[in-house]
Formats: sequence, structure tokens, C-alpha cells
Amino acid sequence: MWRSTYWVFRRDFVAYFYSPAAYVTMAGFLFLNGLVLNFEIGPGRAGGDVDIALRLLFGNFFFWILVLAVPPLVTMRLLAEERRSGTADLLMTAPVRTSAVVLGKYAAGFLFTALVWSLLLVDLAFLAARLPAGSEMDWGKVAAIYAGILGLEAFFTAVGLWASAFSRNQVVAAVMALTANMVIFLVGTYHQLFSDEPYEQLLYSFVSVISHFVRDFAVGVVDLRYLALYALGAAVALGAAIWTFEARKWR
Amino acid sequence: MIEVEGLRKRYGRAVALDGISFRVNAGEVAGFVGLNGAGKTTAMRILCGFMPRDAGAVTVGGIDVGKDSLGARRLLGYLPEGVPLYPEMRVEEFLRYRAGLKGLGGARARGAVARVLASCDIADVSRRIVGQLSKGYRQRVGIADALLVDPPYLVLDEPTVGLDPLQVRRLRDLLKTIGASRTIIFSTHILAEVEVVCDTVIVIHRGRIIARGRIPDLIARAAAGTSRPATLEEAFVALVRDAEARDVA
Repeated sequence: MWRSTYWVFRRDFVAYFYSPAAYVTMAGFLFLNGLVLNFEIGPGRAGGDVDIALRLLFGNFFFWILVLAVPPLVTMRLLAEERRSGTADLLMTAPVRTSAVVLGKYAAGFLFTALVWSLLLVDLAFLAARLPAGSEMDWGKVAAIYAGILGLEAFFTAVGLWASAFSRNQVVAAVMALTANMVIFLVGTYHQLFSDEPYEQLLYSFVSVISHFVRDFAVGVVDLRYLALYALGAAVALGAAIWTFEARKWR
Repeated sequence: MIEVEGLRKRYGRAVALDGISFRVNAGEVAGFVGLNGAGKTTAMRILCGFMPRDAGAVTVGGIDVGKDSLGARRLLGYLPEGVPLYPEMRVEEFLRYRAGLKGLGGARARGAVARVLASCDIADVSRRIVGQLSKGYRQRVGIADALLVDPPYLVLDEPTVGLDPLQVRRLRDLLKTIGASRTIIFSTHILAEVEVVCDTVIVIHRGRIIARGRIPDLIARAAAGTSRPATLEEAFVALVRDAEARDVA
């Protein structure tokens, strides 16, 4: 099974670089973060305080837009395009399991998502180079934030793949995934605002991804419970993607 | 041997296959003919383990496709209708990928790719991008893929559709060569192809098998009536008309 998973992963990962969509996604990502860095965070605006700069960079509106939108853009074609173009016939009449196909595509989608996020390191290096004397970039905090981002994006990539299994249309798949990500993003946040019960607040704050970042990852704490929560979500979404693709591949 | 027994498939209320049964013996090249929408592609997709059946049994080389789909798929090479390929890949790269997917690695994969590039006469386009190939070359790349692991069974869905006469002739020659050592089911509605390439023919109409057997026998059987068909095409038309008349009655 792992050999076919590897070949599916390899084809799909390389295929990103054949398509202009990959370069547009990366360019858009860099452009948005460049804007944020230039107008919102710049070393002068953060007063030379690395903590404030990091909190701004990894907590601003655009950051969350990118967290929610990058995985759907990356995963939207992975299964939908196989069905639309008819290559699902070719793929699924080879001696490969559906799970191998889905896992290979997931690995390709996640690695590409991680690659997109790694571009932000360019901005961070730029920020580090321009910090005033006496200030130093806290790379430990950056590592904690990246652990959070990659954990959450692993979850959202699996959700995106599930959405891609539902439709032959990439745009429909992307919209479905974005909607699902927004629900996941908001579910903890809104209930936390409107709930008075302490145990409910505790539960909702545990599933609130924004709290995970503000309270833990952004201050350099890697809470493994949150990463386990994302891994569980990813496993459920991947299981659903396998089942959905198997049931709908020929429809 | 490929054996299909009482195969049924519905899409919602529409009956695609209504209990079809047929057998293709080892080493035989069978033409699977019928009008558009007769159920050819549905039957072939079930045969290759791509689609589940509602009822009936399908075995390939003694393996039940419903019970051991992976095992059956290891014995099969399949060319889907329309030859869906990845347009952004180069021909050799595509075949290497497919070889890997089918369990071939390293030197075995390289050897298999070189073999099918030569046998399907596509070595000259091995570095070309699939999306830029002519339809004839795309068909041959599809057949090369089906032949990668040298499978004993081949299922080819409309391999000649959309080709010009020269491309059809080339493909026909290729099918004759590869058919010498394999069991092949070859679906088409171009009956001249079946006459040239196939040993036997299975005629499907509205999800039912209306005739099967050796081509000369079918022609002779249809000629037994008042008219005198001289070709498989005329025999086919007579068979379809008879089936439609029975449906009306």
C-alpha cells in the first residue's frame, strides 16, 4: 500500500508546480504577508518589541484568512479533478486501495501547504534583520507558532480533501472546504462569547482555535492536547474522504 | 477466462444492465458491441472493479471481482473510454508513474516502460507532454499503460473512437499483435473493426445480451431470415431490429 501511496503523493505534489495556480497561491500569500509586514507590523510600528511583532504577524485578520483559505485552494483539485477528467477510472482500476490514493493526495496537499507557509519565514527573516539594536528574534516562539499552524493546517487539509471528494467541480469543493473551516474556526469562539456555564466555557475554549494561538502558540507554548485535537480531526476527515471518494468515484 | 453471470446494474430507476451473462475464453479477442448507451461502459467498469454491481458475478482469471477487486485488477489492463490521461505529464513520466502505481519499481519499471514504448510505437514521443499529443498517440499511450505489467487480460473501451483511418489501421495492427497472447474484450460500435480484430462478438442492447458467438456464425444466423446480410454490420442491425421488435411486442 505504501508504495502506491508514495507514487500518488509524488505525482500530485509535482503536479502543483505544473499549474499556475500554485504560483498564484504562493505569490498571493507573499504579497498579503508583505503588505501586513509593511503597513501593520514593521519594526518601527511594533516599537521594536518582538513579542508584539509576532503577535501581530500571527494574529492579524489576513493571517486567519490565509489559515482558513490556503488548504481549500491547495486541495480543491486533488480528487475533484480526477473525477471531472475521468482519470479516476484510470487510477481506481489500477491495483491500488482507495485509502492509498487519499493518503497520497493528503500528503501532497499537506506538504504543499507547509511549503506555502514556509514562505512566511522570508518575512520573518526580514523582520529579524531590521529589528532595532538590543532586540532579537525569538525563534523558539516562531517554532511554537509554526507547530500550531502546521497542526491546524493538517486538519484543514484533510477537511479540504474530504470536500474535494464530494464534487467534480473544484470551485464547489473549495467553497465547501472554506465554509467547513469557518465553522470549525467560529464554533469555539462564538459559543465562548455567549455561554455563561463555566464547564461550557472550558469546553469551547478547548476547541477554539483562535484561543489556542492567542493563549499558547503565540507565546511559545506548544500544548500537545491541541495538536492531538487537530490530528483527531484530520483522521476523522480523512476517513470520511476515503468513504466519500469510494462511494462517489463513478457517479 | 473472463466470466460474467447474471450481472445487473441500475442508475436510480434506469436499468443499465439487466442480468447479462457471457464468457470470454483464454486467448480470445471478443468484440463487445452495442449502440451508444447500451451498457458497454458500465459492464466494463464493473469488470475492472471500478464500479460495484447490484447483482450477479464477475470473475477474471478465476478471481471474483466483487470479493477480491485488487487481485482481479492485478490481472487486468484497462483502457477507459476517451483515454483520460494527465495532460501535464510527459509520456515517459506518465508511464513511470503508472508502473509505480502498479507495483513495479526500479529496473523492472524502467524495463516495462521501455518495452511498452517500443511495442506501442511511441518511443519517438516519450519526452512529449501528453496534452500536446494527437488523439492517435494518446490512444497508444493509453494502451501502453494498459500493457505495462504485461497483464493476461485487457479491457479496451472504444479504443478507436475519434481516430482517422490511418490511426485506426495502426491501432488495429497493434491490437492484433497484442491480442495474439492475451484475452481481450474490446468495446466499440464500429463493426468493421470487430470483424478484423476479434474472434468472437457479444452484442448488447438496452442492457441485455442479444447475441454472442463467433462472427461467421452470427452472420450466418442473421442470414437465415428473409434478408441476406453479408457483413457483421448488417447482422448487427438485424439483431437490434429483432430485439426492438420483441420489446414492442
